[in-house]
Amino acid sequence: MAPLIEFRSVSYSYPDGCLGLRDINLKIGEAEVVLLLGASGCGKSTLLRAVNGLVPHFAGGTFGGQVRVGGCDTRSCRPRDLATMVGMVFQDPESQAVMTTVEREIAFGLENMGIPAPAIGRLVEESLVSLGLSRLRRASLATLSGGELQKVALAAVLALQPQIILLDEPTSQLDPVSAEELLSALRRLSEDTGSTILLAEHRVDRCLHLASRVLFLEQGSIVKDAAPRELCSWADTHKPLYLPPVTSLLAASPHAQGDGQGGKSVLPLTVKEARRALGDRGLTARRVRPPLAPSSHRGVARIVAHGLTVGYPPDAPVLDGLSLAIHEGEFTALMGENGSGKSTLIRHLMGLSRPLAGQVMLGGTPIESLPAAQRATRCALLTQNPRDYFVKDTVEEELRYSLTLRGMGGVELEAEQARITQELHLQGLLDRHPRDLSGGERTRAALGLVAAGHPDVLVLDEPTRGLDPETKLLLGTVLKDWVGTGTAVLLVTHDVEFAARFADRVVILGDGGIVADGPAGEVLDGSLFFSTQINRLLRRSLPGVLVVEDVALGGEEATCAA
Amino acid sequence: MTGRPEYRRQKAARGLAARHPLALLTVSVAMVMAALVVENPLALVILVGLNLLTLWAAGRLPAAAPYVKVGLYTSLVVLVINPLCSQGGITPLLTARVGPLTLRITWEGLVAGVGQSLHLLAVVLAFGQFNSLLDPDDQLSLLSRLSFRSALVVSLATRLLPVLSQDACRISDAQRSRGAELDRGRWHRRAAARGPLLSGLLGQSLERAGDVAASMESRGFGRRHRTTWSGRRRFARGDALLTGIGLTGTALAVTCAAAGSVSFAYFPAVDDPLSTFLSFWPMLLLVSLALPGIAGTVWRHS
Repeated sequence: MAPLIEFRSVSYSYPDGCLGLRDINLKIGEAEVVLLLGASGCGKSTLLRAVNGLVPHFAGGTFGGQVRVGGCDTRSCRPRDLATMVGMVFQDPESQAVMTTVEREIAFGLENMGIPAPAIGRLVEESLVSLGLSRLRRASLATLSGGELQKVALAAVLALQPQIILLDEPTSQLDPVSAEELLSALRRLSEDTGSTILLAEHRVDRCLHLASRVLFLEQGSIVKDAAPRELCSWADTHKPLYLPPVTSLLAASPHAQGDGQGGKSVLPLTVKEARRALGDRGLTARRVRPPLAPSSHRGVARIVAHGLTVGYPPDAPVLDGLSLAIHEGEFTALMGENGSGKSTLIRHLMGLSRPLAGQVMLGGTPIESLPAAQRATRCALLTQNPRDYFVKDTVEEELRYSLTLRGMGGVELEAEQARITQELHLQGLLDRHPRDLSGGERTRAALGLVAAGHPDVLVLDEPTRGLDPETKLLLGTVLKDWVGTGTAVLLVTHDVEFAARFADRVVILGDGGIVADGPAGEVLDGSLFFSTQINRLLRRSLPGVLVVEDVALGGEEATCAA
Repeated sequence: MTGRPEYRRQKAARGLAARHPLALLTVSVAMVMAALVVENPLALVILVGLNLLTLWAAGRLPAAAPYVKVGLYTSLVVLVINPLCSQGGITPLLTARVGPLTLRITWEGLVAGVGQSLHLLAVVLAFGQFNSLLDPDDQLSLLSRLSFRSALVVSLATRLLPVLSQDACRISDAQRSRGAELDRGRWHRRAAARGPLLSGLLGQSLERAGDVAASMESRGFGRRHRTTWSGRRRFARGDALLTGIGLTGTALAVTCAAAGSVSFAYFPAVDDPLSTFLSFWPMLLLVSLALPGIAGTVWRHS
């Protein structure tokens, strides 16, 4: 049987000469769920765009080889002709919306396909229901949160019921519950309808077990094409950061070296498999890092919000009477469901919006009374879209501009620029145009701009979105270092693993206020969705453990059985 | 502090804004037609007032704020420049020699400047009403029955100002949070501080255009045999009433233009605004344009 998607010696370079794909040979059949892994800029998005013909039709550049999709050569079939067969959700949900309201956005593709109006109504309804968007059907897209927009983009593609679904980081802005639901729905769709799914994603813990096959890309080439378990065995040696936490834990155990019969033990992909593996291998877990004791003495409160009520219309506020203090030398993760008001809260904490009631104090002064330069010197914000910060031609000019705005000059400016450049590994980016950078590089550069001048408080809105594991580790390490020097970090994230690894304190928003606030080990322990894989695996025997580094596996001598 | 409510949810449309798109289209077209043909400054003032009343009654005044701002700024420019350029008129107020040029400011030129700026404001606000009252998706749905591609181009173009406005707000907030003083000092200082933002805005607009085009292409835009889905809107009695008012207003605007009853002369001497205003057809036109706002106010409070 002919493969549904076939790449024959495909190479591609962008118009600026940047390599996209290099000698790709690939066959993908019906009902396969293929996960694409690799660092930012390795070619995952380019490969997805080559499947629906946007590469080369839309992107230009130099294209060699052949891509056949359902028997059509993408060089002769335009993306619009492939649209009945291939649906794609792009990386950035904000910039792919064509219409202005939710149901119209979902209907747009169906109208283009010439589907009769009554059937469109039914398909729109089904898509709304399947992604829990019914309550937002008439909402303006401009009013939705990033996560809600991502769901709308997915619903618009699912409504078309394409044979091939291409997803470029579809869960990057979704809360853990929505991400889990979405990925399960996709897997079910593939099983029930035979749809083929190609999924580029950095969050391996969310989706590795759902894949039937994994491609690992590096510099435009496929360096590994294997089933998930085989990929894990390979990654354990070559790319350990790409292993899900439970896989990583079991891979590090003494028994992982062999199954006693000359072969290597099978690595688990899920918490359930890991639990079984622990039992089967007689492994026990013990805590090797003591839990962080709740600090009896917190640092000085840097930002304090009193009775904050925000929202529109005033009779239905998003947050109602919320009070929160962010302290020096504390790394706080702010989490919660999509649309729960996280980004809204930080806008108010930064004095960028006026609350309906309540007040925000920065170091004892009402934040709205401070001039922007003074505010930014003490409290800096990195918003969800790093591109909003770039107004100069090179990263170096951007850095210097930021430092000048904060009143620096001469030797002081040079020293601060050197520090930021070194700490965020920006050396190779200084001469580049900020808009030419990859997603991870943009985040690092934008972080450099806002963190220049060593503000007392650093507020970051989903900075881990779309970051590969290496960049995420770098980001977490740098933030932790800054926290060590007294900076207060408030980070909005859906990435529970990141929060567990780096945050001291976790605040969860819901129902118009704070539903949980405490040390990360307490808040994330025992939660159904806002908890890590390691915690779900070991919470009964070792409550409070969150990450792989907290535990070690051993034989009978260990203290606690899982 | 901008106070931009980016978390704002779309309230369930009520009153005038909840009417059928066809009814809103006819009402908006009548206002646009009137703004284009009316020249009498007194009538233009009333037209601007009626426009704002309709937007307020529909609860769309905040959405039209960018149009109000653009209208006011551009009108101000016309108000300043027009008297310097219009040298006609029989009542000179000032004559001076500026280098090789002779500057002659007349009473008629000043009044013409006021009239032209009012006209510009009325036209900008009328298009603002069209875009704020009628959802762009509804515009597309209605106009695509004639030509989808042209309708989409119109629809995307009419969204440009609000989208740019949102982008500008976001970029401004980002710049404020890195320390840029955008809101302090006199206007020229604030304008200079906002200068660097333009390159960011332009860059984002270009990137967005590419992304939207890719999204449209990959969702089949440009295929033959397109259909149109307009949701589940019913055409109620109130919609019929509004449509009738809108059509009447459009017809009256055309009639007034043809009869010359809304024209106004500034040169060589300024017409009497009252004598040309207080005639049957212009009064009827203004009454028909006032009805949607009045009906909307009633619906809003019912």
